[in-house]
Amino acid sequence: MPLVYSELHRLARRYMRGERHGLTLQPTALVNEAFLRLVDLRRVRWQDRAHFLAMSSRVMRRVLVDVARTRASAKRAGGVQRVTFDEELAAVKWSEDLVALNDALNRLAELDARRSQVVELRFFGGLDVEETAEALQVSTRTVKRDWRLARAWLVRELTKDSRR
Amino acid sequence: MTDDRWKRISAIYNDVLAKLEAERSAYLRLVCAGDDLLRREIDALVNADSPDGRWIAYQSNSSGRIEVHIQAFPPATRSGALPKGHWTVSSGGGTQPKWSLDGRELFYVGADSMIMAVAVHATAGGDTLDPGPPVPLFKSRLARGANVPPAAGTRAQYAVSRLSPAVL
Repeated sequence: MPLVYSELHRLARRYMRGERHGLTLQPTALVNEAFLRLVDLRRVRWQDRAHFLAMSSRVMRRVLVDVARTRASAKRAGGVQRVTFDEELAAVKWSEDLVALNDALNRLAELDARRSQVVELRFFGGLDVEETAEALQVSTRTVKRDWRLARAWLVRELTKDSRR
Repeated sequence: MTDDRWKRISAIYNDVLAKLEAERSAYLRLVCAGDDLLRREIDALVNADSPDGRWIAYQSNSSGRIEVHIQAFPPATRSGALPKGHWTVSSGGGTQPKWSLDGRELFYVGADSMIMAVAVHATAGGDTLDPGPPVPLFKSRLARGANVPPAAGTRAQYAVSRLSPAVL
C-alpha cells in the first residue's frame, strides 16, 4: 500500500503542476482523498501496475470532477471567495469546462469504451503515450490515433452546432 | 450517432491516417461515395488536430454564424490543467478549417468561397496562440455551406499540399 500511495502522489503532483486557475485542492489532500476512495473500492485487487494506473486515473477523474462540480455550484450560490475577480472567473470557467468534458467523455464511452479510456488515462491520469499503451495493452500507435480521434470528437461534441 | 455509424467513422479515420497525404482524398472519395455527411464528418475529424497535437480547429455556429475556431484541447497532456484557450479565427463566416503541414497556418473557406489563411503563432512557453488576421489567398469554386451538398459545378472539399492549399 505505501507503493500505491507514492504512485498516486506522483500522479497528483504531475496533475497539479500544470494547474494555473486556482484549483484550491492541494496534491496531498487530493491523494488522501483518492487513496481513501481506492481503499473503499473493495473489489479492486492490485494485480499489476497497469491495472493500478487505470484505476487511479479513474479515481483522479472522480475526485477532480467532484471538486469542479462543487465549485461550479458554489459559484452559482455565490459562496466562492477568490483573491481577484479574474481569478474567480478563470476558476469557475475551469470547473465548468471540466464538468462538461466529463459529461462528453461519458457519452464517448457509450460509443467507444477504449477511446474514452485513452482520454481518461491521459488527461485525468496524466499518463504519457507509453504508459497509456501499457495500461490498455495496445500499441503506442493505437494510443496516438485514439487520442487524436477522441480529442477531435470531444471538441465537436462540446461545441456542437445548434442547428446540426 | 449510432454504434454502427461510429464504428464506420472510426475505421475510416484510422485508414485515412495510415495513408499518405496525397492518397487520402482519393480514398475518401471512394469510401464515402454517395454519403456527403460521412465525408464531412471524417474530414472534420481528420483535419481538426494541429500537427503538434496541441490545438483543435473546428467550425461552429455558436456565435450565430458558422465561424472557424481554435481550441486548446485538451488541456496540456501531462499537467492535465485546462488552460484557457479559445480563439475565433475567421470573421464574416468560415468553414472547413485545415492546418498547414507545419502547423503555422490555418486555412479555411471564407465568404464567397475564398480560401483564407490565418498565421498561427504559439506564444512563448507555447501555452497560448496568437492568431493573425485572416488573409484571402484565392477564390475557389468550393460550395460554401458546410452542411449542404455542393451545387453543380462546385467542389465539396479542398486539401492542403506540402506547399499550399489546393482545390480538389
